[in-house]
Formats: sequence, structure tokens, C-alpha cells
Amino acid sequence: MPTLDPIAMLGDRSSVRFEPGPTEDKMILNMGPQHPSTHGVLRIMLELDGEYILRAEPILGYVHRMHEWIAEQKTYMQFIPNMGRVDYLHAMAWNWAYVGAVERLAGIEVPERAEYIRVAVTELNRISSHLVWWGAYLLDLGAFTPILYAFDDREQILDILQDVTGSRLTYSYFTIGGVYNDVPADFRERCIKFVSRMRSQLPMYRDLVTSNAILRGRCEGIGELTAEVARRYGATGPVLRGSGIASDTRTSEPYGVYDRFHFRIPTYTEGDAMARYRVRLDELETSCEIIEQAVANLPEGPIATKISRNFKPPKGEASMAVEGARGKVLVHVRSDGGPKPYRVKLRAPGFSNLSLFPELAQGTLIADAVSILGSLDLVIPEIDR
Amino acid sequence: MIPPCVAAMNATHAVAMDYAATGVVASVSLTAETILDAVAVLDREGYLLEDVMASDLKEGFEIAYHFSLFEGKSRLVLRLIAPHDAPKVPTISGIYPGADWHERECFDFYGIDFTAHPNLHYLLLSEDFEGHPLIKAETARKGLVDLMPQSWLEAVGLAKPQAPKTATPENLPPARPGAKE
Repeated sequence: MPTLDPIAMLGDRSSVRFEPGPTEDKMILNMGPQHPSTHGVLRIMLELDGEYILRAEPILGYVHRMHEWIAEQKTYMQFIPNMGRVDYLHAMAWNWAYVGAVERLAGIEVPERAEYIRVAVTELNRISSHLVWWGAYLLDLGAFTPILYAFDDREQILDILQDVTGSRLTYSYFTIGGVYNDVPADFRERCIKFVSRMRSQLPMYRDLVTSNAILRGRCEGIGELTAEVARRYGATGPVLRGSGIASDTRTSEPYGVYDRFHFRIPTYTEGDAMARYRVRLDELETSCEIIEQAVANLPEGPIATKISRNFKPPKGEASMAVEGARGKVLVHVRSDGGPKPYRVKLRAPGFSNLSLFPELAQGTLIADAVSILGSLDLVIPEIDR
Repeated sequence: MIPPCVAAMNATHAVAMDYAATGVVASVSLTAETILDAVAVLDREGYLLEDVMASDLKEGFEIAYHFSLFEGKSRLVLRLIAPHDAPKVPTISGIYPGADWHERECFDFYGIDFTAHPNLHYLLLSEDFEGHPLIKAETARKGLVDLMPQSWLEAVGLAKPQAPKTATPENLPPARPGAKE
């Protein structure tokens, strides 16, 4: 009698790496692409023995849009809106990485005022990204209420950024040589008001959620990652800093005017999901500090260097790394001296962070895999690009 | 500035790059034979793998591996050229497991065959997709001479050092905004 092979019967070619199953003590389970904890459209094939994961393999590409190909069809300016759509939660970092790479390539100076505005909006955006992560992660772990608080706080940021950029989520605010338009007159007051509101919320977050015994039970000692493994997988951002490495692009290779700011890089040595959680919550405070300094020192002056409409950078190549909410955002641009880029390569931090997942999930319980996946802070459109 | 560990790499060319203009401190040219040893050197030095980037050039597919340290402006690019007709490059995923997905992405877009790769299937494209979308038409391909900065070309011997301030079309000042093309 032939073995019953449901995967072959479905004609699913993604399963080629898995042996036919199920057998008496092995089950193949698809987590996603519609699973709520996969945040969009990620699919993970799990090979299970009871509730234990023998092997996990993420299957990507459900929201693949081929941004790198689009870049080669458009002029340098026309490609900027795509950058708001790579990582929808921290669009400013991608704006900055692409625009910064082109500025390096063409040797364009950015006015002081634009540099400070860039810092302020990027950090506001980072807080909103971490708040969404915080709410969604707790939702994954079964706590419903925190996301309502997180979205309430995030709404204040979206209102500020809407008045600055005109959009609420997919910003294309940066332009080659500066920023697209000036901040409104009450920008400084609103930022300071938001920062004090955020600071008054953080103790409540800590008391009600971070020190909650159920949350700690779901996070502590789960998905432990050593610094050495993190390095070999190219993990960056809070995932790396949760493993004890105080590496942050804002301080390791300062871009813009970040070298003029004083802030602490939160680092935890445990390497588990809880450490990554704590890093992100502490980064809310770090970003508040930076926003305060940026708006306090916001100089007057022009907001962008004028560049020609048929802008053509000289031939050559340039890379720009920016610290996004999820880690190191890196954009490489190659120019042949024409009006369109010859090649644009987007390095998404989530891509490398997710590639760690099979390593972290192996041998854990399926419920812990949900916790590990959430602690990596995934934005699938960024990974699939 | 070229880091000292590059000396142990058996590189074809090692060129210091201007960080302010390129975001990279050094560019190291290698071949498919020397790449594995070079990557092992970087692993011992504690470099983090950022990404693996392929581009389609006249000379072949260029594979560029970007590495950096945890601290400081330290981005290194290792590059090698694989021929268009048989683009075979050894996988570095044995040393840096994170390269696994980056190499699969290069396979998706350019069809580069990373030999001994444990799992070389489409990653971002659907499994039943055929072809490699970023391969350029023969006529659209540009060579290194058209794509690399002048200082790099001079250092690897692809361009003669230019006498400064002579009025050749390459070093004319850029046209003013609004000027006629």
C-alpha cells in the first residue's frame, strides 16, 4: 500500500525539503501564512514530534514586490516613495538609508536644520514602531489590553508626523539633499508634550506588563541566543543588543548628526526573549532623550539642498547604514552616471533576524516558538521586499 | 584604511576606499578559489556578515559580500566576478550560516550557483517560478569601468591615473541646476 502523503497530494512544492509525512511520531504543521502571530504573510513549516519542534523552515515571498527591480526602472527621485513601503513601521529609517546612499554617491551636503528634523522624525517613528511591536507581541502571548494602550500612545506620534509629512504610515518625507517640507511651528512643543506623556506611561507599562509573572514565564529563558551565533547570522538591532553586544549603527558609524547627541544604548546579556523585550522598552526612553535634544537644538535655516530635476550622480557606488527599529538597514546604490540607478540592493535587518528562527526554534515547544517569533520583531514586507 | 587582516587573504587587489563617499573602508577583490579562506579570516577577526549582493555586469556576475565589525566605521566589501555562462561560487554558509538566505536570494534574482549550498531553492520567488528577474539584457550591461569610482579603477589598473584639472569630459564640474543638457 502506498504511503499516504498529504503534502504530495496537495502539490505543494515548498515541502521538497521535508520528508513525506506524517508518520506515527512526526507531524508536519503549517504555521501561517494566515496565522495571527506571523504578523501578515509569513509561513513556517514545522516538523513536530508531539508539541516539540524538530525542524522549522520559514517560507518567504508572500508579499514580495521586487523593489530592487523597480529601482532600476525609476529615476533616483521616483524611487523614494518605495522606501516608505519596505518597512511600514519604521519607514523613516529606509527613507534615510536610500537617500543617504544617494547623497554619499553624489557628494550632496544636507543643511543642518534638515539633519535635526531627520533625527527627530526618525526617533518618533522608532517609538511608534516599538509600540506596535509591544502591543502585538503581547497579543501573541495572550494579553489583549496592552495593544489598546500602545495604539493610544502611538496615535499621538502619528498625529505629529501627519502634520509634518502628510502621511500617517508610509512616509516618503526625505528627499535627496534634505527633507520634503518644513515642520509646523508647534512641532517643538508637541514633541516635548509627547515625550513627557510617554515617560509618564513607561512606569505603568513596567508595573502592569513587564513584571507580570505570566509574561515572564513566557519570555524568560526562551529562545536563548549567544552573541557568537547572532554575529554569524548577521543579527542586528535589539536582537543583537539582547545578547550583550552594545552595537548600534547610531554610535558605531554615526550618520547625519547623531555624533552630537548623548544617549545610552540599552544592552542585556541574557539573550532570551525577555532580554530583547527589555531592550526595546528601554529604547523608548533612549528615543525620547534623542527627540528632546533634537528639538531643543533645532537650528533655523534651509531644509534642503536644491538639486537638478534631471539629477544624475557620478558613476560609482555607495552604501549607507541606518539603525532601524529592527536593526541595521543597509542600502547599496550603484550608478553608471545615468538618471536611473544601475543597481540598488536593500539589506533588511528582519531578513537576517528571521534566518535565526530555525536555529532558535529547534527543540522548543510550539507555544514557545510563537514567543520567539514575536521577540524577533518581524515586519514581513521588509523581509520579502 | 585597509585593515591588517586583509594581508592574510591572498587578494587580487585590496583598495582603500573613502568612507565619506562610499560608506565602505576597503574593497578587496578575490576569486572563487580564494573567497572561502578570506571569509574564514574575517570570521576569526569577529566580523558580522551584513549581506551578499550580486550585480549583473559586462564582465560577469559580481558577488559582493559586505562585512562590518560591531564597533566603528569598518565596512569591508569582498568582491569576485563569476562568468555569465557558468556562475559557480562556493557557498560561505558553512562559515557564516546567515549567508544561507542571502545566497538563496542571489540565486533567485541572478541564478548564481553557490556550490555545496545546503538548500539552494527559490527563497523570495515562488517555487514554480522560472527564470531570474534581475539578469540584464546583453545590451543593458555596463562594465566595471562604467560603474566603479575613478580611484578604484586606477588602483586596480583599469584606468590610467588622470592628470588633475585637465578639461576632459569626466572631470568637468557638474552642470548647474536648470542648465540645458
